[in-house]
Amino acid sequence: MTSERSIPVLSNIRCRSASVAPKILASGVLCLALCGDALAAPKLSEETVSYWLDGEFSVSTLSRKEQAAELAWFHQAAEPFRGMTIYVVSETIDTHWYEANILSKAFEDVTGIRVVHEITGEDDLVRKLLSQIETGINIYDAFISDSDLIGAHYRSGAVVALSDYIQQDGAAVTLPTLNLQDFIGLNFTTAPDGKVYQLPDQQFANLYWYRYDWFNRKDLRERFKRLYGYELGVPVNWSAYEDIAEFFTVHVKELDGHPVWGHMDYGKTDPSLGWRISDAWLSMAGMGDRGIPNGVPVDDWGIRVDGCRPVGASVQRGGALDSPAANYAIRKFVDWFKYAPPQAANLTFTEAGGWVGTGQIAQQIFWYTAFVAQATQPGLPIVNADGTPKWRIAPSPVGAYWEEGMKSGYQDAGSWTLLKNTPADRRRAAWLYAQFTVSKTVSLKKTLVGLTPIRLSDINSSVMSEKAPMLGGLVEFYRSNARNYWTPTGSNVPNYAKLSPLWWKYISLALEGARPVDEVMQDLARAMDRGLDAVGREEPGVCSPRLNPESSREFWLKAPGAPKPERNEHPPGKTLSYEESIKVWN
Amino acid sequence: MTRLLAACVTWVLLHSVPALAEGEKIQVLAYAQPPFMELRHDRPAGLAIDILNMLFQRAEVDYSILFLPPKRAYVTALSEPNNCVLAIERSQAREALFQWVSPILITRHGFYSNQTDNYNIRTLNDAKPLVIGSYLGSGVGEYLEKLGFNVDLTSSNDLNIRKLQLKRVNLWASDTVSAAVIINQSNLPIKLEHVFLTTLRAMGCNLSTSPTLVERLQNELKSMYQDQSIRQLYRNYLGQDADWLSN
Repeated sequence: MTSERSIPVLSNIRCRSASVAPKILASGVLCLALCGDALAAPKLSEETVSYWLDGEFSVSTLSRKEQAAELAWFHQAAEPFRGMTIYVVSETIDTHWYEANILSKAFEDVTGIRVVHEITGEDDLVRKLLSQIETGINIYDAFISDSDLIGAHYRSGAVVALSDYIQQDGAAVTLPTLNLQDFIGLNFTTAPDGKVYQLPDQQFANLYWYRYDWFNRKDLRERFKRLYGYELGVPVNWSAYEDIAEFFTVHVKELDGHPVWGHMDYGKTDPSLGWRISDAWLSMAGMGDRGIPNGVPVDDWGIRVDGCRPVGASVQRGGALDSPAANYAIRKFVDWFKYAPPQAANLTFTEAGGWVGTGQIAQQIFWYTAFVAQATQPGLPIVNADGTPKWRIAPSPVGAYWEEGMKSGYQDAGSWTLLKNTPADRRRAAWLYAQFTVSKTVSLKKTLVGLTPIRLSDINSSVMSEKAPMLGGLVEFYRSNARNYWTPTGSNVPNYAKLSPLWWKYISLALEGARPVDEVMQDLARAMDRGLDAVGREEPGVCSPRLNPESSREFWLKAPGAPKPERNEHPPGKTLSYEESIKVWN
Repeated sequence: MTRLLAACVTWVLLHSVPALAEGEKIQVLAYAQPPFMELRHDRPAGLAIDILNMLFQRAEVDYSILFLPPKRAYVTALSEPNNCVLAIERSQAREALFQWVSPILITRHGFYSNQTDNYNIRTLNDAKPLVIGSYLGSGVGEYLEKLGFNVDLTSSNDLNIRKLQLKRVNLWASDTVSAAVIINQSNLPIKLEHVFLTTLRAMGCNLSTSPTLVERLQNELKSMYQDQSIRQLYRNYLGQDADWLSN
């Protein structure tokens, strides 16, 4: 659907910018004139309904009649806010572009509320959210903020608890057919106090990506077995991943006249380098404790908690951030760049995302499924002529310290978040838009565009069954119990915005190679301790950090669970067929 | 006016600011962008300058202000110790390049067109086929370029007005407050089409700057927001009831 098509709807109430000339008054006051007829309230026309339901949202788990009823509800509920312009912000992925380019228009046509849906980097978004809380200035009326921030949200007192809001102030503007239980990520956005603080808008996981077609080539399978003594297949552990990386980069080198690489990653000094590690890389190595979603009492950031209170990240305080497992994880991350294209070390998250599409990458241990939509584009060298992918996604291999019952990987759950310092009427209007973007009327279409599902009803729909062969395993992942074992950063992290910059600032030092990884991790762990201590002092409360006294490393390494003492980091490589590998998802 | 202001003019503050604990002096590199930053009678003035003055005085940090063209201010702060650039857009792409004191300003950015144009821009994507004017060193210009927009860069923001009027660009991307000043000062037939981005405008300091000093400034800035000092400075420029973030 293009923006050029004219829409004969509610045009009498839209505050067109053409009529809004900015003026500085003599007093120096900046004001922008409002449309005089902005508060008119015409009936939602059948033409509008038809335009959107038949043109854009023709796939839905609702019947057309039910969709029309939802649109009518939005139209009615929005009446007090017609003519308003609201501001929301989200990160840069396909799903949010769809919302910004299409859903915001649909919402405006249906409700008369104009939405400026901004797209920015995830780190920008985190800084903006922190700024709104700290300055008290209402920058945005709603944020789509990752559920990684849940630990800060419930401790800060600055975020609206949605489970309270929909019963109280927001009751009149809460969609009767919202159906919270249909959201697969609701556990991620529910804090230890039992309240839901965020409404999931999109979800994507971090999985193993590989060239299914190459792994099934007889010549490559035979050659791999000759060299390594076991089958070329989906690696179960990091030893096998490393062997396969070496195999393609060092031994195969070229396929069909093109260079190939056995590994892909990104390492530019940039905030996204931090996510590469904080998005569960250390838990995949096995650094933390058993327990879903994040490990108890030591989580995937290496932070130990006592009840809900963080007590330290360094081994000397009972954490695991500078434990043998953490050091091993970062050593492998750094070392494996030798198997990646030379450019990889200078790429960011976004820049690296499209690399698998070039057809040069054999496997990637850490691949965000937010890029599935890009990797399924017709004409790419990784897509067959019939539209099926030449690749598959499978469970990521795990490191030498990983044990059954631990978190298996990362899942991002970008979720609608309302702040208490947003004026009540603007918050209500923004809440309407938030619900519109996840309503059953639009969510299946949004899922097909961005491939970041949030509703069980969408995942289990026949439409997704038909689409599954084109998506390389994404539907199978989301239909399985695995979606509960790939989890976001948890509630142990008391202030994500303040602590997360430590990751990229220290990991970049490890990548530069000027100092040994173990030293860098020791510094990172100490910095994390200091950060936790500062948060504890600035934001006192029953769940705020209070550091354990320092003990010897030996004391904690001998204690059960994480931090774990050094172990054999080179177990024999093990692989499975694709079919066997995805059985662990069930 | 901006060309004149862009000439290197130094205005060193000689106020009674106590000596720095670190024994260092910060050179702040600003560029002309009324009403945030400009030289009035050879003296730095504007909302961002007022915030800066209050910040450094409250933090008891010695400083001077030098006006340069925006791109030169940016690259100088990147390379020269104890230099900071005011007030640039803080963004993920720039995050690792500076140490930040933010937000000095919070600004909305929009697309502007000639009154006679009728582009019907409702979303950022609607502007994709059009040529957009911005200026060298602009974080918003960088943002649009990264997204694949056709961006035409000038050496300063106000030069885009002429390009827009001559139809050498279809749209001018600017923050809404300084655009309003320029448009209204000369009663220009230019209109706001669509707001598409909000930025935190920050002071970006050279990476070698003392982290303790940066933290001190950041903490002081935070307290200026919390005790309403910043809000009062905004009111001085935008009026008692002005809400510059509502467009």
